[in-house]
Amino acid sequence: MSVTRMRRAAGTGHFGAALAVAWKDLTLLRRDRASLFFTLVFPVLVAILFGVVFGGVGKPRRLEVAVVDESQGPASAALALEIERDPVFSAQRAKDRDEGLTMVRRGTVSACIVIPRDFDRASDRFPFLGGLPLEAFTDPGRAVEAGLIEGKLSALASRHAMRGLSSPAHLRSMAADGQRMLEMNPQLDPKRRAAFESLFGSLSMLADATGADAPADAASGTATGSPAPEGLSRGAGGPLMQGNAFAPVRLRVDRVQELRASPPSTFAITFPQGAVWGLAGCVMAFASAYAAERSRGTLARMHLAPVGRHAILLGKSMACMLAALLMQVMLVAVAWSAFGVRPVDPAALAVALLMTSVAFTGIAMLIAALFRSDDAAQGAGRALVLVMAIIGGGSIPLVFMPDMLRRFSGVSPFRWAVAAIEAPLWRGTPWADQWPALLVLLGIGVGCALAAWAALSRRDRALA
Amino acid sequence: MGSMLRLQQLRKAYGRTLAVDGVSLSVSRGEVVGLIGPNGAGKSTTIAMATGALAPDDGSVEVGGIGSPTDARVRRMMGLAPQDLALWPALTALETLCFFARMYGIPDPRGAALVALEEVGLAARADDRVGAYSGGMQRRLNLAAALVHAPAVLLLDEPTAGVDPQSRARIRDIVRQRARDGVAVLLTTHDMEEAEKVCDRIAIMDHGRVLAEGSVTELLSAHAPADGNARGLEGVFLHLTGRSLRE
Repeated sequence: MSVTRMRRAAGTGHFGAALAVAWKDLTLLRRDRASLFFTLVFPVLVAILFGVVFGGVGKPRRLEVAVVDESQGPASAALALEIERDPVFSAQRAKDRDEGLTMVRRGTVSACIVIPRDFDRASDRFPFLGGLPLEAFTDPGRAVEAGLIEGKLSALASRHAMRGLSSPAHLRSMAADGQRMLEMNPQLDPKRRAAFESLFGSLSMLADATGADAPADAASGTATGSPAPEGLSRGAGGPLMQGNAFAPVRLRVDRVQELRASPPSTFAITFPQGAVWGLAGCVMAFASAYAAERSRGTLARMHLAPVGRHAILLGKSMACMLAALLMQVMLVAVAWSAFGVRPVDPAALAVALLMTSVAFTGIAMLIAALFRSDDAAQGAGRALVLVMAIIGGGSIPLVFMPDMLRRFSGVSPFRWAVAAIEAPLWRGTPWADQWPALLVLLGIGVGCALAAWAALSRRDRALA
Repeated sequence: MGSMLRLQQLRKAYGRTLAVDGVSLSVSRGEVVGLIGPNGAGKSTTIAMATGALAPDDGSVEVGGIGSPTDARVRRMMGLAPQDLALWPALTALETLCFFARMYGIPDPRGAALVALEEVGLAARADDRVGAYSGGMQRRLNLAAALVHAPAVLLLDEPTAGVDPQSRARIRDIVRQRARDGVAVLLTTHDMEEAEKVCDRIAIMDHGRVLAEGSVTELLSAHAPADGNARGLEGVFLHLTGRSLRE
């Protein structure tokens, strides 16, 4: 059999039919711009987007913190400046403790570092005598970051405390302070008293010996001073005066939410993520069903009934919203009954679930309005929802995201849905801090619904 | 007999293609008018404009002396069985008809649905899913969905396409019975026998225009081909529309 005859035989058999089907499907794809976009162009765009976004993954991530300077002295200002300049931190100033804590609750920062009122007074003392006081309030939802912040802050404050030892004036001040404290403690063990008197005397001598060439700014304990002498930054330890250990920093770490409520279980954290995935399912199901109605002709048939188009759209929106609400209520019921997640504020949670349903119903209607075929609606739904979920933390917790993606997450309704649900579920966020997320969700829902209505109206102008 | 459906100088173009070009037609109460024509003649476009699903570029549609199909009162009077089966495979027949009855504000949707199912011979399978129906059964259900709200004007786009002789006979009986009850019926078909048996009047369309209109007898006497190659209504049809194949 010649090659030509073999080709002819193949062309008329099963292989030929398969080729014909493939050709037909490719032709259909080529003529459906939406499907073509989501099949060929969209993956490229996604690849580019995430390539840009994850471009900084290999670099150390900056920890976002708020800094409150309650001491308002030169030492506290120096430490605050040092925190701001440190490449590990991305610091913002907060005017007071409340503002800093609010920033943590809103998720703007991972922690609030408070330099308390007695910081400057304590920085004049010898490091053995109580250490520098510092407070850090961390977000329990960002445990990994909290640990990093705690460690880094200890190191930074220790360095700050020890740096004072390189300043002659500071050494003299500390020696005098130590002598004063010895005088105030007459019951101190004589052996220890003798040791301390010797130490403080040596400090005075050291200050006299190095005073001529010491940098002036070190006296005020600023961050620009020279590093602490090796011998003083290491090796000191054990119980000293009145049983105090060598502790250059007294770092107190609190979890912000523990001031109000803490998550009773991990399910309290995973529930909002589960809810948004359920909402995503609603979006895709209703959007594609709507588009399928259009292509099947049932939508046109419904439009012949003596009811307005708005009634049909409203009915479909109601169905979507009810399904979304039902799904969320079921999740809350499971979380409550099986995992002991009792909502901190049930009324606020009800409002949050309603607003979330409104937002995602609007999105479903917009996707349904924009795409004519159910295949296109499904493709668009999957692609958009997936991207929004990734951006919004519905899949990957925000804490593990690169900075750029985290900042970008505000464009995703998932992010707002998680924030809105978490607040009354277990965070116990006050109403004043809840309404922005609720308003954003309402805005998304209403905006998308209006856009859907406009798109459908424009399309319907061709019809009667 | 008062005219229940009046189409006047309807015109519709899709881009450069003129689908319907000045079609005028009226259907009276209790009358069955057939619209026949080759593929692409403009029958379905005419039906779509008559129902209000498609806005004409020119011309008007008046129903029951009330107004156009954009009027909700007029829509309530009209029933449409589209050429493509517009049904939901996952619903049962009863659920489907109940839904349409509710859309038309029927007080007893279930009762109306059961009556319509009985009429099309599907009462025994009322609770079966539409997806499990045969083509003929789906076609009958498609008709029942147009009948469930007892319309005064019935528009049927190829109601017997692709069905077995039994279903075809049943559908024809239903159409005639509804006409006897005073319903005005406009239907499209490719089946000449069906047109002869069911229709009181027939309009032959091609290239968006009505080429001839009248009873079978009138058409035969006015347009019978002289060459005798084809007899009856089909002969008239081929004589008027030609023998060239259509896309």
